[in-house]
Amino acid sequence: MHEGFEEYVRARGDSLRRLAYLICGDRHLGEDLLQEVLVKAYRRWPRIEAEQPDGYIRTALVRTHVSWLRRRSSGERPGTVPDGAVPGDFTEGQALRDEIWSRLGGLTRTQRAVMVLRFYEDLDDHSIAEILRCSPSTVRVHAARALARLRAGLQTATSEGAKP
Amino acid sequence: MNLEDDLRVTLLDRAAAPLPPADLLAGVDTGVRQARRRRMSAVAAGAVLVVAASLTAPLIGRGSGRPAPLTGESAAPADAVWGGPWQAAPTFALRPGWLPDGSGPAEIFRMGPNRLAQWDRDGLLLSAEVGPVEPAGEVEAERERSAAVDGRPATVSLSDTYDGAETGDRYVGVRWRLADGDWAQVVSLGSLTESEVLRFAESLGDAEGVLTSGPADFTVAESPPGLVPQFEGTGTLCLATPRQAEQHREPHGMCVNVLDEPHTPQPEEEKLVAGGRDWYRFEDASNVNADLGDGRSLSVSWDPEVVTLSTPDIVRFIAGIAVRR
Repeated sequence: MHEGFEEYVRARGDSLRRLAYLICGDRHLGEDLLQEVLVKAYRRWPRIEAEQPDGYIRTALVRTHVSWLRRRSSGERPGTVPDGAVPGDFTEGQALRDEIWSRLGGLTRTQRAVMVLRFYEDLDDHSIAEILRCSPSTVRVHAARALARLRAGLQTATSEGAKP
Repeated sequence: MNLEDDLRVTLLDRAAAPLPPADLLAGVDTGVRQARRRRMSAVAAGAVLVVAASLTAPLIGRGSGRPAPLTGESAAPADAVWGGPWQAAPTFALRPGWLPDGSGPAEIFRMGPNRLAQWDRDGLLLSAEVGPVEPAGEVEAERERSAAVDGRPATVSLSDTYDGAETGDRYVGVRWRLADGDWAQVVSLGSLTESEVLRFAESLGDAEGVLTSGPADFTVAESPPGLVPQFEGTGTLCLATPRQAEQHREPHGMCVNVLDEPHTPQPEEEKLVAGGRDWYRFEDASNVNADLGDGRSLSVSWDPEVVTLSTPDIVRFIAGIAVRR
């Protein structure tokens, strides 16, 4: 293996695994997705390394996941079976976050990717648009719909409506 | 906190949860070795087939122009019959008796067993789809209500916004079942009102004759064995298995598209010369692209889980694609 590739994967592997998990909503699917992307990246590593590996891999993860060629059917939702609750904290806030995580599984792949890129990766709409190969206005539409979908049914559960 | 903050915390929490142990490098190393083995065995098999492949592949080289080995033997048996030639000519049987002013000619699509007629002019996209597969909604409806089309129960889906909507635009979709059991759906993205869309729906089949599109952007000389047209439009063709063509309305299998964007070859891309045209692809990628020189490009992509054609088969196929100017 390229020495630089090994160093990169050792240094950034866990971070990439976390991102792939959030994009897929399932640890096993996330691991498969990341491995597929890294195998392809390995062959082009000298060029990728010279640019921005994180950006390249992040883009490849998202594009590969939302590609229609990977979908088994058009009606497939991204989340499959959501992972269980994060153990250890059963407060009201944790219950809400479990509910939000579950509802993320009901978004389309693109909507979910926009949520992860905006709220986890802290990317702006222009950067997200480049990754998804669409316009920033389309990103905003995806985001608005995703948030509307998440918000639906959560009014009674969210901290927006909870006591201060 | 609001939902956005809760969502941010949710994602950070999930990401921060302890990761189960995994040797990512070992997994990638295994994947790289498997890919190498596939390429090596493919090169060995390809050496036997150079003569046969050269009959259909004028030249295969890399970006530098150096000859490159063929990768892969023909996936099809020697006596397998290639189909074709093909030229898109789907028709739409239910010619509407009413259309909004200025609608112009329709573009007709084959969508698996369904057929769709689409009128697209500035600010208005209107379509009608008929077939045995239930159409999907084009836009996530904000509200739905019941209605009737030709006396048959119908569902009207409405939304005040959609991707690219201008002020005053709305989405109206109407879905119902025809007397023969087929589904019918009309969709409007633009300024048409619900009553106008229902009028359009009621008028389907009121005019004589069938609708056809203008000539397709390209023709295909041959289609690989076992694949039949599944999705067709003026600038699109997808070839898939007969079962997929019967069951799926979305593009499946192997698709040819004329795109309104140029293709700039990358240094790492492999060059294939076929049909007098330079095609480019990344090694092992399941798509090839050719620049058409006028701001357009030709793209061929396939689902490797369904389409198992070898490089010579791919070259044979793309060599037969002729683009109209």
